[in-house]
Amino acid sequence: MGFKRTRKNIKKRKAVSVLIGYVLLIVFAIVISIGVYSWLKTYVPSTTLSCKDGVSLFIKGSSFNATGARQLNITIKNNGRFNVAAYFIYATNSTNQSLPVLDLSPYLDSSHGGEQFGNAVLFSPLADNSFAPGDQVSHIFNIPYAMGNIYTLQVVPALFQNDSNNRNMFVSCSDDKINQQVGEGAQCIPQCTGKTCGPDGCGGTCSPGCSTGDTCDASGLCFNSITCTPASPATKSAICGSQTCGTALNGTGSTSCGTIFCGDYGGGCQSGFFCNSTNQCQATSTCNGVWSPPESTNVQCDGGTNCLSNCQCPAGYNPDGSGGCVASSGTYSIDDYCKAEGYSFGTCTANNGGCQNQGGVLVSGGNAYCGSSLGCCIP
Amino acid sequence: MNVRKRLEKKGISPVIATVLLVAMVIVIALIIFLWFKSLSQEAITKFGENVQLTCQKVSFSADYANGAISITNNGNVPIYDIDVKISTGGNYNTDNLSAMSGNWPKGGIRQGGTFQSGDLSSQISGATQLTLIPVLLGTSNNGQQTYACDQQYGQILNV
Repeated sequence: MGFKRTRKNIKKRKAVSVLIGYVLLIVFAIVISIGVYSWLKTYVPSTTLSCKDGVSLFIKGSSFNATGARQLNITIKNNGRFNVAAYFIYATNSTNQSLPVLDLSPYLDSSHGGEQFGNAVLFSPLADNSFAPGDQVSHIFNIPYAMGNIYTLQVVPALFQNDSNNRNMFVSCSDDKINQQVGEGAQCIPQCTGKTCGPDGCGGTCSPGCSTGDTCDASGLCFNSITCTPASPATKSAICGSQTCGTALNGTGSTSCGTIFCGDYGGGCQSGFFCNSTNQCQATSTCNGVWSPPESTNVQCDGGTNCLSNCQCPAGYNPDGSGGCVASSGTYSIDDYCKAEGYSFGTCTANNGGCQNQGGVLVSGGNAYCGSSLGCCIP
Repeated sequence: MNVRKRLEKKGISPVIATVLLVAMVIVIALIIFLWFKSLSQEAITKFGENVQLTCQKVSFSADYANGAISITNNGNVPIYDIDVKISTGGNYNTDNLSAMSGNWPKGGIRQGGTFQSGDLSSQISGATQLTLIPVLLGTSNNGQQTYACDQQYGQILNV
């Protein structure tokens, strides 16, 4: 009786067929495995691109003249153990700023070496890791007036490196950045002579500024744009004429509508050029007191022995190939030296009083031609 | 008698049964997968990996002076935007730096790029601390999407 009841109970129980059970089991296994795989595969980290330990650049020298040509001249040396391809360069223009954020790469003067590559400066136009340990290079940046004075530089090395997929990537070595103070003691002198408004070249504005209703023109002077009489036609090409830089007057006399900038560079010139006295853009001479080839064709010497201030060798001297001059033939005297410097003639004197009595000035560069006496040049 | 009844039972051939079994498995798996995919959160990827991993590679320097925020991207990952968490006492609110400053570069700060906002002192007056959190632009099945990294990858600036 008991056995019959058990058989009945067993027969009454309902369950999923074994076949369907297998099907469902396999389906769930496949679905879950696919889902987990597609979600987890994005979490597999790729190889992190990072610079090798030992990558290092060193700012060997830097100079910045805030009042003159406004050129930042830096000399960079690879003092690390690996080749480098480029560097990022940033600066501060305020003593209150601790983080250099002014990107200087757009202001690179590539005619003196280097090439802009995005936000970086390449050492070689071939865009490869060619800057080897021990190599040294000088680059020049033309800093615009609007940026003011430069206080701190930051240089970050960068190089090309292959990633795990063998793609050539440009890697920034942010852990190896270096900071350098620039122009210590050099104060930015506001350029407000003859101006009553507009930028002063140090990040500020000239005072007292313009009254309400007046407008500041390109020369830093105020004018009333409503009551003035503009030139006819009042187009840039008509007003500037053949000028490629500088400023030109829009109108005539006291009723003019101020001055406007000429050329395509806000009154200035493109990199490597300057605006000369005839308001034409002229190639900048590389005469800057530092011998850094390639120099422009009008530079015989630069900053070396016997080299004159106009980067020319004196009469009777030839360039020595390293920025100085060596005597070739003949006798070069203090008279020759003073005349080459633009004076009328020169003489040797025992002291300053003797020089002043002749109406001259002592010139230390001429001392070499006067033995134990002093070089005196008379205008 | 019972044995004869069993022999007369009809059934599917084993070959056909196997084929049907495999087909059913595939179809059901496909249906469930498509349904599951619509429920699960899509992964946002950048440079072929999950954007959360890319956040670890972001490197930037930041400074706050004279009411302006300055940022330099020192790393190799472009920063699409910055979430600024402005803390004022015990309260805080968050805003995008691209909305706060009109100087934000289009496309964000790329490798080696810099950014300097204008005067934001009126927008963050009374703040004691700023937390800058990078926002990256990644790719998903729905196209490009932004992703704000965790706060641990941000930088804290004292105001």
